[in-house]
This record gives sequence, C-alpha cells and structure tokens, in this order.
Amino acid sequence: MIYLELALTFLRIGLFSFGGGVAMIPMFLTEIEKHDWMTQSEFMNIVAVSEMTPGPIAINMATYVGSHVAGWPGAVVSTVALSTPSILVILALATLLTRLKSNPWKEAVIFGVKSAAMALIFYAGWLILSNTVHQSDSTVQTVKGMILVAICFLFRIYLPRVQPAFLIIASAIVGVFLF
Amino acid sequence: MLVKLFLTFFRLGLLTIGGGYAMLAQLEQELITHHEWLTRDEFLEITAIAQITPGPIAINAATFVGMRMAGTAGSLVASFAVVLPPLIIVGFLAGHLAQWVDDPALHGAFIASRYAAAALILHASIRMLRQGVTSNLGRLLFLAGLATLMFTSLHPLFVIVAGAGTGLLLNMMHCLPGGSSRT
Repeated sequence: MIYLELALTFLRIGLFSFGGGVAMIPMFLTEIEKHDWMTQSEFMNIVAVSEMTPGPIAINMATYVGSHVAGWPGAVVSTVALSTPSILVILALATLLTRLKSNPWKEAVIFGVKSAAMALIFYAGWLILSNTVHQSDSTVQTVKGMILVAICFLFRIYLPRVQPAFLIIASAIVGVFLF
Repeated sequence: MLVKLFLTFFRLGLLTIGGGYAMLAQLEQELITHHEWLTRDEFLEITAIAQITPGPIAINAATFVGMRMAGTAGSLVASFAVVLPPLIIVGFLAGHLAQWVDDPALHGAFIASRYAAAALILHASIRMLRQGVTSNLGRLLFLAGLATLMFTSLHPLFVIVAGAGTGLLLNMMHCLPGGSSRT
C-alpha cells in the first residue's frame, strides 16, 4: 500500500537525519530512487523550489514528494511521518534537559555545541550564497546579487524593525526586474 | 497561550523562506525581542538542541519552544502550526512549481530571494556569534567547526558531536571559561 510505504520511508528519514532539511537531501535522493518515485532531476527541481517556497525545506520536500506520488493524502502522510520522530525525540529530551538544569557537564556540552552550531548556521548562509552565485550567468549578475546582499545587511543593522520576511518578499519583487 | 503559540508558529511557517536556519533568525526576533518568551541563552540552547536531534530544525525548534511555553499540548500545537502553511501552499503548487522554476520572468525572483535569504542567515549568525560566544575558546571552536564544514566533506553531525566532545574534554581539564552563561 502506497500510503504505508510513504509513511515508513519518511519516518525513517525523520528519525535518522541530523542537521536539518539541507542535510536530508542525500537521504531523500536514495529513498526516492529505491522506490522509483521520480527521477533524480525531478527531485533536484523540488530541492530548488523547496528552498524558495515558505516553510521548512524538509517539510516542503516531503509535501512535494508525497503529493507527486499519491496526491493530497500522500502529501499529508509524508509530512506527518517526517515530523513525528523529531517531535517525540524533543519531547523526551526536553524533560531530561530541564532535570539537568545546572549540571556542569551539561553546560560543558552546551558550550561546545553552541560554538559548533554557530558554525553550521554561518555555513548554511554561505552555502545558499555560493550556490546562488554559481547559478548566475554573468559577473554583472553576481555583482547585482552582492549589492542586494549588502542592502539586506544594512537593513538588518540600521532598520532591524523591518521584518526579515518582508526583505525576502521585497527582494523577490525587485529580482523580477533586476536579474 | 495555545492560540498565541499557534498564531506565532503559523506566521513563521508562512513567512520563512530558506528553511529551518532562516526560520531561526525570525524565531529569534519573535521569541526574544517581540514576545520576550525566552532569554538569549535559552534560545541558543534551543538552536543547539534542534541541531543535535534528528529531524527538521524548524520542527525541533517549534516542539521545544511549545514544550517550554505550554507543555506537551503546546509542543503539538506549535509543530502543527509551523507545518500547516507549507503543507497547504506546496500541496496546491505541487503541479505547477516545476514549470515556474523554468519561467524566465520568475527566475529573477527566485535568485533574488535566495540572495536575501543568504544575507539574513549570515547576518543572524554573525550577531548571534557576537552576543552568544564571548570567550576566545568559543570563537576558536567556531572557526574550527567552520573550517571543517568548508574544507572537508564530513557530515555536519560530526561537527556538532565534536563540539560536544571538546566541551566535555575542556570541562575535564578544568579550562572552561565559566558556565554556559559566560560562553
């Protein structure tokens, strides 16, 4: 049964992938090829689109693949299955962490993980930037892109009241004419 | 509180472009500056936990924040709320998206929104680094992690685990610069 197959596949991806949506891409690809749900290039389109549509990338990919395979019910089953393991793990861990409130070993782990997590976030921004630069057709486009990046930076520093989402939507509208 | 949680995470799910990391930037603004639901240290703890646990970072963060604010019911409401907008939007668009990506008129919009998303993530990470990592030891760990991600093909999970291991090792050698509040 296709729904059960979707549910089991996305439960597995949700349970065994660390580092968020972008880190899930190789695992998605393996499962999709194994089940023969779509071609690799079709999936790559989905990855690109998932980065541009609202919502977590992992959820977008799951919804898209589920919808492609089995319509609306498939989309719902895939999304719920992908989210379930992380909800259960966090529920279990949150209780544990609250109990360990001021344990020096816990603080030591958080000290290390915090710095590493910052590196991951910076790297994610760098990845999106370098991927987008690689997609540009010319140097002029790259320069325009960098100017856009600088403007967004200036907005965040001097006008932090402007919502990040507004900056993205405004950039998209400007982008229609700019690129 | 449940209604507030639902509305906040529904909005985050609706307006976040660029995935979980981009959502963290907006989550920071919503939870610390706007609602004052969390302190900066609690937020950084959630960021770290969201990344060392399996699953989408956005779901992990929503579950954790919901749990802190309103227990198990809160965690379910927040997770459901953050998933709902993309599920509806992507579900409806699924048939059309592939052709839109190739549409030359919309191509620029996609490119520009990716540049903007990258800028927002980089800015958020620099600001969090300045506010959250104040010891040289912490900065050194950040640089080591970044170099590992950029110049090796090691799994991101490795960087997180190595960070945790280094923290434990430094604690054993008694050379940590105080508790997590002073990192």
